[in-house]
Amino acid sequence: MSKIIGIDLGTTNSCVAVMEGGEAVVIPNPEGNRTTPSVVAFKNGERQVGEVAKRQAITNPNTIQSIKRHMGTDYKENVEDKDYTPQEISAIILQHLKSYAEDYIGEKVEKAVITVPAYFNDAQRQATRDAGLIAGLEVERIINEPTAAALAYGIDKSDQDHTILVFDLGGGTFDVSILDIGDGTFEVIATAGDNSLGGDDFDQVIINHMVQEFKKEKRY
Amino acid sequence: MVDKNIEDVEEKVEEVEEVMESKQDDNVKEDEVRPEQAADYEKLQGELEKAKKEKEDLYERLLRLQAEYDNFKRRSQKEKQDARKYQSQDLVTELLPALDNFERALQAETTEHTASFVEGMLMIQRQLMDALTSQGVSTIETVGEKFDPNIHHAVMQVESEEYETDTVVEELQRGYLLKDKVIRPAMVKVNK
Repeated sequence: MSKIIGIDLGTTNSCVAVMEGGEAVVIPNPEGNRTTPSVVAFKNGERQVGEVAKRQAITNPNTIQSIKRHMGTDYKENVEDKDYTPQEISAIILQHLKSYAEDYIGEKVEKAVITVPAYFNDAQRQATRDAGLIAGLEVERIINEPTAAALAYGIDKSDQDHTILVFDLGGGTFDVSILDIGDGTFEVIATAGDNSLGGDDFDQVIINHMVQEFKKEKRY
Repeated sequence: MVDKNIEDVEEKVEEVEEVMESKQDDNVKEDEVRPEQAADYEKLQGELEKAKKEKEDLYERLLRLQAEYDNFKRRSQKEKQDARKYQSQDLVTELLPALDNFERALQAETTEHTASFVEGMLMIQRQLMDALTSQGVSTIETVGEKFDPNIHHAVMQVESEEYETDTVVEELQRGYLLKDKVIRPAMVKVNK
């Protein structure tokens, strides 16, 4: 029986993990990092994914970022005279994660569990499932991101009922969810957030601040 | 006497008949026992099936654990090899800011007063670089090279007649390799 990988397919960054001896282990990418930029680039018929794609982003207009924002819509990304659906672009990212997970595990991987935001509708969930299929992954289950976070935290192991608040501050999005946990079931009671607030904005604010300070010092 | 005897015999016959009857009862009872035995048999059969299934499950788990262990062993061997090959990686990563600052310091204007001081700094920098080179550290080629996102990180783009398209025009931060591994890609300006 082959292993099932767990994938956090994020707007800015993605992450893949596998169960090892009863606990989830994050698989590092070829560059040695635990998350991989959700970036795909096309150049002269070649395709780059992750860190490498991000490093060349400003030199190449055919670089696609934040494709997750378009999941479940009929948006098309036109690159070198070819239309790509959000599912196809996401599949390229999934394939990349799958391939370095296979290197790590040492065998072929055919099954995956993928997380999606709690607010994703059926079309968006189906698009995520399709992306998995295109990448050659049988999607065993689509799990809500806050539920996955609560599971990873180990909150299902206590036998008490809980109502918890999950904060998920990503690179480009911020989600807050309230979950009800009891008898091993998770229910998302409410979810809200800001679709354009994340760590990248923190970076930008710091950059702006430094520019301002520099200008003040140099009296520009 | 005879009557008594006859009575005795009749009693005996009755006794025998009773025994016979009870034997017959026993026979009937034996018949009644059979379904119970069948139930026992079925129960045992079920237990056997359960045990077989349990054995299968455990066997499969054992196989999986074995495979997991083999992979783990293989991986930790690879990690050990890598750790040996790239043993100085952590140290080098920690030293990078110091190397950067050396370069920045040496970019400052030199005057007559500081000339010999700068020369000293240059020598120390070279010494440090030599030590790192002996450990397998090398700098990434940039200006004039074709832009390669595997080793270069483009942060700016310019239009220049001097260079060909997709060529690195300027290095903003030096990149380093440890043997064949990129420790830090070079931050560069690329020609359109």
